[in-house]
Amino acid sequence: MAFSVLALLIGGSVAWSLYSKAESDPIANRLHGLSTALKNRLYFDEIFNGLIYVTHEAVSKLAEWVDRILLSSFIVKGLSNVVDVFGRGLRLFQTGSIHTYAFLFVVGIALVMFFVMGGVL
Amino acid sequence: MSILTFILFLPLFGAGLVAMLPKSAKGLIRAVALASTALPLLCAILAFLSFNGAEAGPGGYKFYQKVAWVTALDINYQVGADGINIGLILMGSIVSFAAVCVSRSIQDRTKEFHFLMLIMIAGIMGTFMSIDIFFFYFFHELALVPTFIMIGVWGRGKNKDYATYKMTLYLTLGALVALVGLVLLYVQSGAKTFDLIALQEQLRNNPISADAQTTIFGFLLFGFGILVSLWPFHTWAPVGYGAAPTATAMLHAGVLKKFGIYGLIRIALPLVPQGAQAWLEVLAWLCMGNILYCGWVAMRQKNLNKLIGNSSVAHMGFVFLGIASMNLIGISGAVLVMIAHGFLAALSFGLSGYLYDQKKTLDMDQYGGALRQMPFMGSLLVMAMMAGCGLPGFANFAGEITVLFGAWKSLPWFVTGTAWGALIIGAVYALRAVRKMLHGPVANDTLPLQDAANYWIKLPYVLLVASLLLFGIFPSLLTDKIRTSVAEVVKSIEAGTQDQQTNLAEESVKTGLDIQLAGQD
Repeated sequence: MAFSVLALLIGGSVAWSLYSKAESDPIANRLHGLSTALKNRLYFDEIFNGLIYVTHEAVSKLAEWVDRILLSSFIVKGLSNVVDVFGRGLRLFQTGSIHTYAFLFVVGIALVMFFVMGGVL
Repeated sequence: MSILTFILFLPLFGAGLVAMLPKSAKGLIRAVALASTALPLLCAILAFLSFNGAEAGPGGYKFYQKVAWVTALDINYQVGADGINIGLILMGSIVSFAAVCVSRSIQDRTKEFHFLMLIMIAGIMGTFMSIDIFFFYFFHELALVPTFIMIGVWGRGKNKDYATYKMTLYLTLGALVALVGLVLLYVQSGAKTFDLIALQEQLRNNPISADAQTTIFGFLLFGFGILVSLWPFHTWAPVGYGAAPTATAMLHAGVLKKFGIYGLIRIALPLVPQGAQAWLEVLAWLCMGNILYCGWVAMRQKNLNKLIGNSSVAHMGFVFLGIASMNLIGISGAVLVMIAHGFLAALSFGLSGYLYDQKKTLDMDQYGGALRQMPFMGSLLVMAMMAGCGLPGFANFAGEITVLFGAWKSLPWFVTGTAWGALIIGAVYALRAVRKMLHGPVANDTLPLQDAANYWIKLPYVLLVASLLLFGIFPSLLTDKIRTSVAEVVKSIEAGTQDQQTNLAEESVKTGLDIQLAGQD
């Protein structure tokens, strides 16, 4: 408590002596570069921004590219395209012609018999 | 009759009533929907407040009720609440009520929308209160079907159909993989029952072999994982939520999505603990993918809903981290994050829906200085963003810090260190969104933003923020309940893994004896 009051009194009197009759900021003239640095909060904001830019920002560009192009487009849509192509291929067998179906039916029976009888045919 | 049965059946009853009302009676439809979620909310608050004093039934579950259904397969309607799901039921009820409140903007096919929403809500509540694995799964499916229809019919954006297909395929696949795990569990246990309490009892005395446990946990982890958007199976979430109507996004991201995590904690960890231990390392790496990778992806988003969607996926990483720690603190933290994230996701999607209704876009570049135009709703958005980056005072902070403590105790230091460092990513995208949308000069366009005009509009958002603050400032309201039940789960894990160590020790002694005997021969 006593220290706080003492600090308040010292700080207050130094500030009074410096600023009470000053027309411009006397500290800025005396401290030059340090004053500018303090005015800019020791450039912490700029340092943080820069750090984020070279670390997280750079990696996030890569991650977003991987997510959009590699995962969502190449792998996920690729799989869907494979199914699509497979379906289009199967569609060719749906000719609507009874002769084709009868032919495929006979081929199917022949294949089943071949496998069931262990290749005797 | 259990109070939980009221919470489950009131929305179903409401859905039946809505189905019978004429399409033109929009006001009446909304009133029925509001009443069908307000009454369960009151029941949930009552259940939460009376939880400590309530009498515990079989398995330590309170408000227990069992009604036989298919006796040949031992499938029963069985509901109950313990420390793990009582908070989820309360959170689900609050989010459901809020979701119905914000749906006043649905003018097209109002009747169908509210009917489907009430079915979805009943499914959600049933999922979290069922202690029969059949109904646990059934109610989840009951909630999923309306989700797909709602996105397909009432969704927004040109990608609506693509989002619906993608979400349907992903979630159906996830549910199927989980189903394989559940069926394997049923078969391997030999208990011939879907009753979770009986299954637990059976497996405590006759655990499944370690190899079978590893296979079952693998199916459950990836099945449930896909449903919770575990990396790299997460790409459905941002797209789906980006296209979903506000209430659907609130209900799915906030509550239904937690089904997977709840399944892992309720079923997988206590019933196949040796399997869990075998997959531990994989899970720890995958959850890093959620936390770091999805956080980075969120940083690049220009659309608010996609940002919230990716951030929601990143938050799920913390829940998986808590599960991977496999200790009391970590799993308790995971349950707390589940509840906190439920409120947060609902609030964030609710607010983004409010903005979309006015501006018809969620492109963040189109916004600016919104805080001046809508100080009340803008402040709520700031609070949601702050809660998302883990500001103390909100429930998310309490959950995430508990998870980190739990992970520190049992996982390698760099995993916890990375998760802690990833909190910076959350701060970056949340603060950038606040700066871009809410501060700076007011965006110059023809559609100015309007603040919430009356208390009714403010009510759902205030309810969600108040819940986040209440459980953030007094987390013990939840943790006291969670801890007791999670302790039981941890006890099952420890007993299960000790069996494995004993078996290994016995095997090595036996091998040693065989070698000695062979030497003597």
